[in-house]
Amino acid sequence: MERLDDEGQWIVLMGVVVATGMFILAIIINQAPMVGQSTSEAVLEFPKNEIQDIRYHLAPLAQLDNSSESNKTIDRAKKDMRALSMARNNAVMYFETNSTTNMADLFYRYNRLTIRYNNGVTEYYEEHLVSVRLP
Amino acid sequence: MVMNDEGQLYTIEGITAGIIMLVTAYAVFSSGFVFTPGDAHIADMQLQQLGYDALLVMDTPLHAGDESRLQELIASSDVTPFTTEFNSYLSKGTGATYMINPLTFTVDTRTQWNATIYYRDMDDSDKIRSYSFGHSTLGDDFVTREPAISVTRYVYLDDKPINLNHISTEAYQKMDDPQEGQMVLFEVLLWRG
Repeated sequence: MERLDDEGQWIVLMGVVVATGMFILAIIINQAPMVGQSTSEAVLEFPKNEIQDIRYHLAPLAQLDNSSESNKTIDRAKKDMRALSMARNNAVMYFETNSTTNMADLFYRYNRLTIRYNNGVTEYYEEHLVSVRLP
Repeated sequence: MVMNDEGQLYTIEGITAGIIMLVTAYAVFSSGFVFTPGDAHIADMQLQQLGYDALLVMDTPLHAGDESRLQELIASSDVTPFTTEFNSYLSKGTGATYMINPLTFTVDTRTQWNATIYYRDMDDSDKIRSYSFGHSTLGDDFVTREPAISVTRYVYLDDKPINLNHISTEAYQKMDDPQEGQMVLFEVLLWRG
């Protein structure tokens, strides 16, 4: 009976290793374009700038006192922003300010600001205290 | 000393494998990538960020408590300075240049845009009305163009803009002038020209 020639095992093993390595490298190249694609899709979809914009404009409103003039300004902004975000940004947006809380320390009074935002994909809820320097 | 000429077949096999690997690598790296409509996301994402940043810069006051440049321009209905300044922000950067003629290269100013202001009707309903607030050189041409992306920014106005009737008679009639100020939405459509 002829003996099985089992020499050159290292050469066979190296062949397998190199082939596997090339296969993995090919998969990496194959995936590379998809990374840029899905990342930018995610960036486009997430309304980061809209939320930053809303916060930028609401912080000064939340700092207002509890006078009837301030309440008028806040109500007007509330109606305007709700209607505009619904019409142009496809988002439900609502905010609430509360300056009647008794939270204060030696230097600051704290008004509560609540923001709700939902565009069907991203839901955002924030509640924070806006500090107002006491006179 | 006799030359060892065993293992000739291994040598030939090695050379063959080397050639196959080189051809494979060449095939992979020389392949062209076709820019399909789906890939537009990448450029769109950059365009969107550029637009939001430009509006943020214009809506940031120089000193705390001041009016921002964007507020100023909307309040006085100054479309021409807005066009110039917004264009200059869009074309800022170290990005690609393009050739006007073989001797002149310029920063890419081909990004086109069209701006609109949205406001709530004075009848206090949720009706939204709008008026146009300038566009880039080719920005009013909506016949054929690349798909646009929209960037928006809320702008707080103390009063109804002056000289609004010079831009839009309808807006002048339908826009409220509330004592308490109002929010309008500034929307810019941006596309690659």
